[in-house]
Amino acid sequence: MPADGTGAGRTTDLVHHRISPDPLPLGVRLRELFGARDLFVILLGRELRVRYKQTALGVIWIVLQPLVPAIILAVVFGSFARLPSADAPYLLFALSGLVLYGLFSSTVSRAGSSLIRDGGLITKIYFPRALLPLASGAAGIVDFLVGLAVILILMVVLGYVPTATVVAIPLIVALTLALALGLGMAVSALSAHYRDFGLVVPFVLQLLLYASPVVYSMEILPDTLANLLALNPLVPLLEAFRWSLLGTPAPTADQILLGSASGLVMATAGLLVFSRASRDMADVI
Amino acid sequence: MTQTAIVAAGLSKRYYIPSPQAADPSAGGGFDSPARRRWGRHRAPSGTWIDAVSDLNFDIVAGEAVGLIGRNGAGKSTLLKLLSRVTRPTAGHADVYGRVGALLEVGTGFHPELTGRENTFLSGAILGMSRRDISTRFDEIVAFAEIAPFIDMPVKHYSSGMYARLGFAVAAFLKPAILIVDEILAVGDLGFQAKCLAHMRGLSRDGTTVLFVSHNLLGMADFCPRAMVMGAGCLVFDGPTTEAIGIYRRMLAVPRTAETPVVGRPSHELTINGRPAEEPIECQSNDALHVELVVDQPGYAPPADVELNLVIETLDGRKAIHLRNDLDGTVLRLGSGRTTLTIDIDDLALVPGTYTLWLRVVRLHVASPVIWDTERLPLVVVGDQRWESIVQPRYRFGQLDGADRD
Repeated sequence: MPADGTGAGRTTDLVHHRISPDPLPLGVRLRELFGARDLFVILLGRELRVRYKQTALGVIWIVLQPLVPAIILAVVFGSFARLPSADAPYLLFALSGLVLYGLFSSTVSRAGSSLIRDGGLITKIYFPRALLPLASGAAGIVDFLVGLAVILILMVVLGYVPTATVVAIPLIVALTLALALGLGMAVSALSAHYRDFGLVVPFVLQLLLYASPVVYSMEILPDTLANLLALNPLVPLLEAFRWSLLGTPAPTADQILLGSASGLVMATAGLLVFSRASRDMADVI
Repeated sequence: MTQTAIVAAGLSKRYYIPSPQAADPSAGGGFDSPARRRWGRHRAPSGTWIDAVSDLNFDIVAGEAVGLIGRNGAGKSTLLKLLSRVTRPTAGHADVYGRVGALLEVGTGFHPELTGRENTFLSGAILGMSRRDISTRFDEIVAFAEIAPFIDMPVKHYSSGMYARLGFAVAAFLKPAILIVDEILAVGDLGFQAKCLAHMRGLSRDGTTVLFVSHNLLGMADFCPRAMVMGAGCLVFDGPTTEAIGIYRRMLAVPRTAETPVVGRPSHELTINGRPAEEPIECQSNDALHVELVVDQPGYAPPADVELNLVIETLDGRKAIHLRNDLDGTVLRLGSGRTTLTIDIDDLALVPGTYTLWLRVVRLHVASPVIWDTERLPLVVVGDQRWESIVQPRYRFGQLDGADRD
């Protein structure tokens, strides 16, 4: 991006754009995306500000959102059904699962609906379209951080001391975000063409919640099912997150390998779908 | 040195409009039929293609202020969206030199829940300003919008006037090389409209290229020396704003009909004094001239009034003769098929020399106003005399009485 169009230099270093039916080369699009980082920050700010405006409890909702379901789960599965929880207190086990899964699912669904929500913007002004799913998806990180703080406080209360393995958390979070953003971007572009894609997301996320070790631990699964679930990239992420936080068993090498392979495929496919389907966004949305 | 700002070459945009049957699942389609069409299983033509903009060619020089006029649906907004990269053309291309600031709606990106301050940063960033730019110009923006007491209030509580003022003010300080403005000034009150026009005039004076859509023709004539008239996606006229406004007014005077006309330039045949126009025309100063134009409109074209112009120019571009049928009240109409139009000049009354002659046909059907010119033909008025003037009436010199007469 040029610094400014004012005054001097207007005739010498003019930005030239060729407007044609051909899509922009990837390099140009990436440069535009990087050039619009100020807009990214401002869109992220908008996302965070708007969410809890005109609510009486405000930020307290961020705390309540993972905590309430975790307590319910702890009562139902931990106390009544007595599900095993890898030797950690079930409340902490479920809460840590829900917080990471929450980051994934809220990122996918927020990023997924972002283009439709801002359809009015897309038809009126040009900017790198990827900013919308990226900014609304990335806003989920704030909820995650609050959730993480709640877990740490609860751990201290329950007499659990986090170990040095917590340093792995940023990497785990980054991978989860990358996966969720890739999928969310694909959903956002596809649902701009056909709203069906947006409608199917809640079902898929619900299915995925039960197909991931969020409320249960992998140890209760029969081998055949565990092998099938290994293709779910959330499995190693959840296992690693609990390992780094609660000291539960680390994910196996197989889980990590299969999970990262399928995660990489999903995120890449998501980006490709977005890049193709977001081209004529303004005409279809 | 003149620097080009925008060059459009064959710029076109077609939209696919699914037919109502295809859009309505109850009408025999069942599963969403656009999807089926997309996957190629269902190839029946269930919709239509609309040429929102077709084959536009124009050049705009840096620093020029150009007005864009035309009825709703004429393609003005589509052209602005193409130039501001909101949408891609389907054919042709345009080269744009300089950063484009597009103002296609007032308050682009405003979120109702956010305050005026937050929205200023949001809208500014979406329009392409950096956060630092907005911070440094923030006070100017608020002062221009005249909303200082309300800047920390959510914009959902703003009046529509306040909303529009802030929206325009943010964009006004964008300082792009090329400013594209859609019909947005209609929202504010007259005082604010005048302020916006004055601001745009100032930008234009400072060298910003302005492309400006408005139905406020007076405001446009005030600072755009040049205007383009659009109709049915085509460029109908491109030239001085006063002339453009005249053409637009005449287009408005013709009632809109429901018929779908054939858009395009019909084929034609021109004969002058009974000879085909390929041969150079030679005549005497006071000869009669019989011009015949045979127009052939293929396909269906609803009958429409036409304005027939005959122009004879000197080689240095001065108009010697300009005749127009509608000025003397003669009604000429073109429809489907062949129509022969004639112009008879009893006495050419031109001094000897070489001229060019051509006809311009303005088809005043509103849905598809079409203007086309015939080829320019050389017209040679033979004679030995060389005159500085143009007109040569039939004349005779004489002397009735006086010195040395007897």
